[in-house]
Amino acid sequence: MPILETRKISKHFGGLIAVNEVDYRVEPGELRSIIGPNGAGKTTFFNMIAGDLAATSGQVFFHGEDITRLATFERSHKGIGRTYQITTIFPRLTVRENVRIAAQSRKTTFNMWTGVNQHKELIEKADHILERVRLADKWDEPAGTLAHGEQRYLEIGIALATDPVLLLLDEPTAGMSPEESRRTAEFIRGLANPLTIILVEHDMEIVMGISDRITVLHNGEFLAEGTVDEIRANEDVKRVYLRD
Amino acid sequence: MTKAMETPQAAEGREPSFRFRLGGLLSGLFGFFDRYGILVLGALLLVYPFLLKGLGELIFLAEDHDLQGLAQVLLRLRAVIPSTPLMIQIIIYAFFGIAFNILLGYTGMLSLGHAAFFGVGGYTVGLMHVWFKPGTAVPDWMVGAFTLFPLETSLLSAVVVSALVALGVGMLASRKRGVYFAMLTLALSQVFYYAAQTFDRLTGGTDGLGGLANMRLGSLNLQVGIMDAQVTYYFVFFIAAVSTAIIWQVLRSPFGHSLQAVRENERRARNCGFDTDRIRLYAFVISGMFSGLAGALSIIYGESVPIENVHFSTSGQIVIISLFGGAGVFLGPAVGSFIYWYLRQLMSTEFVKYLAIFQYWEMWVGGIFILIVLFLPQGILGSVWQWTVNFRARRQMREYRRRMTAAVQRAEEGIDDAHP
Repeated sequence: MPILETRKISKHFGGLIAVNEVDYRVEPGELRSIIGPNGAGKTTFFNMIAGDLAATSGQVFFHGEDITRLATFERSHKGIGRTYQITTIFPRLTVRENVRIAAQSRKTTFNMWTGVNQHKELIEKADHILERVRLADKWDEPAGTLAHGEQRYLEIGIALATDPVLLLLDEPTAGMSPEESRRTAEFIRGLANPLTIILVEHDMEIVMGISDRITVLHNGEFLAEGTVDEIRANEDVKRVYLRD
Repeated sequence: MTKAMETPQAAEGREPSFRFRLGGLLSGLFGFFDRYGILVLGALLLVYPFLLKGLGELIFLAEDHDLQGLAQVLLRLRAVIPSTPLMIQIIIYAFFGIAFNILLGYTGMLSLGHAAFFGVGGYTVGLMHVWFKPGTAVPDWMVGAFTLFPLETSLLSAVVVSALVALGVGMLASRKRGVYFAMLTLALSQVFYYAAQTFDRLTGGTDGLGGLANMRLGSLNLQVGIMDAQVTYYFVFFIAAVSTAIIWQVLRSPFGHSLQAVRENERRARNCGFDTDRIRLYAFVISGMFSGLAGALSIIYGESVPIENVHFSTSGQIVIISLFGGAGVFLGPAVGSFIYWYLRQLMSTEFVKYLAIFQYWEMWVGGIFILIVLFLPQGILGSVWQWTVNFRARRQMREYRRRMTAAVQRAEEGIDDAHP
């Protein structure tokens, strides 16, 4: 069974059709990429999967269950985590607290009668994740004071803290140096399988380097899908990218 | 070689300069207040009536022994120490501010309608004292319970009623964000003001709901109210302290931290799996509930409910008080309340003796408010807190730099020794 499936999913903003009847299937453990020129509807498509935007029509299935009408937080509980194109963290909280709070959202959100420090397992989990995203030594700094690249990693850490099975990464290497981007690509490759990852990325080198399969969107419509080599050889894709 | 061995020890063993020791003292003090400030404050408030009483007795003593000079000085001193009724007011608004700040400081929601809860809490206690009598429409068992425990039942009812009102207002308003939320709370709270004004046969309208006698704690058989400021003071202090402790606990709990997540980045919070709409609503209800309790306490000493309690000016006042002290720190509104009421009192009773213009205290408080917003945007306590953080960071930096210089020196001297 596919872990994620969309059936004829569309998003209209007034007269503008941002995403038009896209069918999409992702198998568990895959590292998938979505590419396409600016305005192709990649982020809108992401937003409909994660729940930030409601689909105008069509359906989203997660593990075979229809989640089209679920709120963002409910989808998060089902196991969908995401990062944003523009870094979205809790800037005035410490690095550890950023991750700890994300881990907390599962059980203890409405617990008013204990102190947060009593939940040692959450702190341990946060520290463990901070080690994975290489921020362990910055744990007590306010997240807003981290360097840009570190904030990108922190955001991935926050998403990981919610124990996702499907991770949506919206341009994780945006604003990074080529060297940083390469390291990040390796890091993302390391996350995939058991995690299923869908990546929106502009950096073709990265996309071609780490993806299992690539999907191309153009003007909100499905254009092509296939392995790296198939996409490289695809005439439609070449035409779209050359024209831009 | 011996020289190289000695130098670092000499550098580290050097007597720290006086400036350094002063810094250490300040840092220690700040650390102490950071941790135990709330206890210090509580202890001060606890002994305050005794201090005031002691001062009064000292004045008598001085007069008895013909020490007119000393008596005069002590009298001047007593004039500038806040009186017990003023302290009651300060404590109530400190508590009100802390409850309000659950929203403003912790969840990042600016409510301009908290007068509704404050007022409703007061009216609940007031109306129960007026209505709950034999021979009215109120069921007998209720009247019976009320007669046995008048203040206990009415305060509890005030909490319940204001929580329900907050639930209603919150369900309508808390789904909106930012300015729209603020405007909605303002509009909805005005409904309560006009209701209080319109149904004046119930509420006394613009005259307020007066003539509430028998403010009595049935369980302790204790009479509070205008007749005994000191007992009222302790009663109000006790309820406010316990409630503040509850709020403190809620804010340090996982729920309290999810409020901060909503404040910092609601979108991220939602994506982390937080039901932010529900969190905002809960925060609103908790805040409104305690605000209602504060409003209920506020009518005890005066034994009447002024309609101003439910007027917009009260909502504005609590915003000002919170920002005065600093919305970013737990005790900020408490400090704000003290400064606000104390300044107001000083101006209209003391300063006015020297300069008539001080009778327009609103103007001065407004001016100070503008200055604080411009130059201390984190509020008074918030700024002090920020200074201590910066101070500590600077101190650590200086220590670090000192060690680095010593290490560099050591290394250089080592090189000199090796290549003479």
